[in-house]
Amino acid sequence: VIDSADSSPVAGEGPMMTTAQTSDQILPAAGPSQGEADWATGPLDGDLDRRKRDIVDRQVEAFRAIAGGQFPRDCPICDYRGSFTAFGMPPRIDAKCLNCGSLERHRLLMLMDMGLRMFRRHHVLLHFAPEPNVKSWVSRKVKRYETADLSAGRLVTHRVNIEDIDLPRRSFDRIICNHVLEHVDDARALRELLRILRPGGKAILTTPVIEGWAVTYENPLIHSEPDRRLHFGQENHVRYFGSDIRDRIRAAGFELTEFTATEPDVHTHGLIRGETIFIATRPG
Amino acid sequence: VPPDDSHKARAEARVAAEADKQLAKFRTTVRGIVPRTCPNCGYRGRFTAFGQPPRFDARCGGCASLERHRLVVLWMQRTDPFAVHHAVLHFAPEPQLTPHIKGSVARYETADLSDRRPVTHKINIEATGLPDASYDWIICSHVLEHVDDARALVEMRRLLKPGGRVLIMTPIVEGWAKTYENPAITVPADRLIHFGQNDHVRMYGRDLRDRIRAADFALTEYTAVEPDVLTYGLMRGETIFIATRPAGSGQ
Repeated sequence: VIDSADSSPVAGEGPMMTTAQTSDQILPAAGPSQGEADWATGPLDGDLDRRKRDIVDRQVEAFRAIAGGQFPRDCPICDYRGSFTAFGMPPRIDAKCLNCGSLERHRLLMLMDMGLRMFRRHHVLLHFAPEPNVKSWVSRKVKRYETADLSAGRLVTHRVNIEDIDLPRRSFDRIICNHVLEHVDDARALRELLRILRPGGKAILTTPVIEGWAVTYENPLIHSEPDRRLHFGQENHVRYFGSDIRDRIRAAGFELTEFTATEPDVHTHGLIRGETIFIATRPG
Repeated sequence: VPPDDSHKARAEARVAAEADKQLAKFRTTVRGIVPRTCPNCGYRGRFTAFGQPPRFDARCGGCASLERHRLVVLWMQRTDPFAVHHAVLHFAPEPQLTPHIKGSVARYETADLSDRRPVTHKINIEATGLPDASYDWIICSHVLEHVDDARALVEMRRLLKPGGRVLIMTPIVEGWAKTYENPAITVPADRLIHFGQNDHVRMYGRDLRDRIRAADFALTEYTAVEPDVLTYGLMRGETIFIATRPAGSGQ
């Protein structure tokens, strides 16, 4: 537990928050000049006077009060009910199931399966960038469960590039592809997913989307990790999708339906309001 | 210690450990991630985190403006919406916006239901008691989610001169086709969970547009996009709705 002395840093005391500096995922301080490289994590300077420090301290205290859970939620994956903890940058409240570690999108996927019976006993399924919180239950529902990833860091069935998949056409009934499209050439990836699906097969697609944007934001000038984090929300994302993601999916030849997080599921299960799973079907 | 208690204690310890981890991350970013520019006050530098859940680089270190204030100021600077002869009514007046309007129009009036700030008219937006066709502009930001919006929209249309406009902003879940309302939710704690704040009465979906048009307004939009989002610290996709009372329309 961080003691109260830590919560009111004073200018000139040098680097604050050794806990923060050793945490596993520090947000890089991207700035226009080298001199600003340590701008966010470095010591306080003259541009934060006492009044501003008070404002910051109040935000920290407000976050402290809810970081461990605001309201009890039900996890449809592990049946835990209780506190969910904050997660993400910026943090989302009641995002992570304390018991199984599931996030909102994992729980939404389970709810979609409960509602639509998406994964069946006769299905052959391919799971890209397989999340343990999805694998744990999807793998038990289907006839054959296979995984795929580009990186050597994960143990997967197929080490493949989603833009050029070295697998035969018409191989799968279902594909799960969560939070992958924002990292890659989505037009090529979607064409490849269509190719390896059987007619009538479905790709389950999720990605961060700004629904208030008519047009996806891409910017060929943005390459560095700090810039990508600022522009696209994460250091290895290459765009921020707008609501035209639907047109992009259809342009690859898919038919599209959607499963969206609405009430009462949002408050019961701790979902992101309006988060949407895109169900892309290869025409039969 | 009975087994039940030790289980509970372990769960609480896990919550505390997880919360501390998130808190440590939060503290690396709460004071500002990257310098932003404020179109309201000209400040460039740290913007601090604000809100529940917190948004990063939300609050200007110079004038304390939030994302939505800066979006409105940019819209004002770029579209020059006010004329020297205009009469403007500003509901729940944000101090960050007042100076931009007051000096450029003939008549600037403010309105609020509560006593928390001095206003020209202490009135209910659902039934203002003000005369018909009195204003060229109404500013109504983060009000509709607190009130009977159908009545408020009809009332604002009545107050506008033909061709007059109302600026509307409100929290909105663009991923929802339909607005979420729930008559069973009445106490503040429930409203916080269901509607995002303890005095909100709904969470809008993208059908907010239909609700505005249903009150016989024409609608245009001004949305926060890049490079403005990054430069000025805006919320991606946040939208200003400009509702126009058709010229020559009757009551």
